[in-house]
Amino acid sequence: MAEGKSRHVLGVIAALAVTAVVFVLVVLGVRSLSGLGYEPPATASTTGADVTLSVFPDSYVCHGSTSGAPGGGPHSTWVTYCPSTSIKVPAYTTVTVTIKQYDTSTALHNPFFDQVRGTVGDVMYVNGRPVREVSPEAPGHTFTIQTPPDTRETNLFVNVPLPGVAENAPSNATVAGHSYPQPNVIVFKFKTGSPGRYVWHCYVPCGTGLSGGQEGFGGPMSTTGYMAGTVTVT
Amino acid sequence: MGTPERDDATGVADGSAHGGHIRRILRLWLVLSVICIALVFVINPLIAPESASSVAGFANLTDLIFTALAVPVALFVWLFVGYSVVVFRVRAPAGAPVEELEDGPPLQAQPWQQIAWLAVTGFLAIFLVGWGMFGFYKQTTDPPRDPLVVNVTGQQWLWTYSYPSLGVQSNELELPLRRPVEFRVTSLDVLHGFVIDGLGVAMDANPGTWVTAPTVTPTKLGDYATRCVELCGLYHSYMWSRVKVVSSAAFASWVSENGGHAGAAGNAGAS
Repeated sequence: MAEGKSRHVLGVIAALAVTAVVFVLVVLGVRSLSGLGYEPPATASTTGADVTLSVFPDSYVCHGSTSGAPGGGPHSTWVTYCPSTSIKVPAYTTVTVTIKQYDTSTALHNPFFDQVRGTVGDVMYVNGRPVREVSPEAPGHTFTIQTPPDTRETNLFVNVPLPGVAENAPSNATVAGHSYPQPNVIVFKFKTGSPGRYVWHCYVPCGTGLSGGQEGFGGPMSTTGYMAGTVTVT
Repeated sequence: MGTPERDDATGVADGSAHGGHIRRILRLWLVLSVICIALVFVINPLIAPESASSVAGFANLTDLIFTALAVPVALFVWLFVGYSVVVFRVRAPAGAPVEELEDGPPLQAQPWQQIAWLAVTGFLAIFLVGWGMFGFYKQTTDPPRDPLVVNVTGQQWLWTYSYPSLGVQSNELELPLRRPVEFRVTSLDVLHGFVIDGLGVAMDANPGTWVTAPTVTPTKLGDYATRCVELCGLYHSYMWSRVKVVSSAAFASWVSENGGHAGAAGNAGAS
């Protein structure tokens, strides 16, 4: 009888111990998920009402190299936004965004993104020229801000298709020791509302991976720090 | 609950007492079933998803009926097991080691019990099939003519909508009240799942193909939301959009504001 009882007690202790171990492992696992995907370590947030970004066809300038030495981080051939994908802008402000687009075109799959949407006047300026819509073959990338479901107070949606540079354009612009074509310079403005956290993303399939007609939606398209990031309105 | 008659050697109730136990379990089951089914009819509407369309209304009714039917079956099993654990538990005499306990007498199959169990569960299964076929029949026969067609495109990680008959594209879904809507859903990259809370819409978004479902008719003005219910990558949890069910006049105005043909918005398929 006493032996049976002690066996029961041992069983209960063992069950509690296993439960505690599983609980600790789950907590440690959840805590380790501090961010989504890869965040480039050496880039600062872009802050202020004037935001300047660049889009490069590779990662040499932005990921792991600031002095012209070969770098590129873990994926040097990945297309990327630069200098940061974490953008902070003030609330209730008209924000001016300037994007230097160094990459060539990749056709859009979704015509919805052909049009400039959500900017002041629904217009962008490409090398100083006002543009409201581009052909589906023209964009190299898009800069598209959207509202996550937990930030419903102010609905922010901005879509700007960024025309790519010509395939045969000479690489006569040097950035941090690397040669690129002269970029298209796109300028647009959008208005922020109440503070909140938004996400932005490129909707041109400019990445790697996948197949069967869905090429280009993987790699940098599915990893923060490259073609996706956050817009924090403070 | 009185003390059952037990065999002195095994502590297990003898055969003559089985009828008494079964009657007791059945009485208990009957009372609990009535109480729990009543609770289902009270509680289910309080926790059911919002019903703002013809499809969602039928889905909620189905949930209510199926739950009410499942309750007595589940109660019967739980009661039988619980009663047996409590009443027929064999205890070792004081001082005797547990290892010396013998297994109880084997259970003998009772044909009437087996027939009754098969009949009840078979009837329930056939009823559920019939109910589903009835619902499908209602939704697919004589569908509304000239519904408002909305093309839904899923792309990591945004839903976009186009109204081909109205010439409108949007990242938000605006629907007119009491007008049948036919959703045609596709994906440009990976699998997505298109769901509208409150309207009872749940469709797969598969790359390279368009999926359609029976029409849905919004029956309540209000704000709703779409979600993606197929884990689709980095910003899967952000893949949502607003849905507004508005009056016909407000819908026509929205179409006009978005560069569409307002006349078509007000006329086609209105019911």
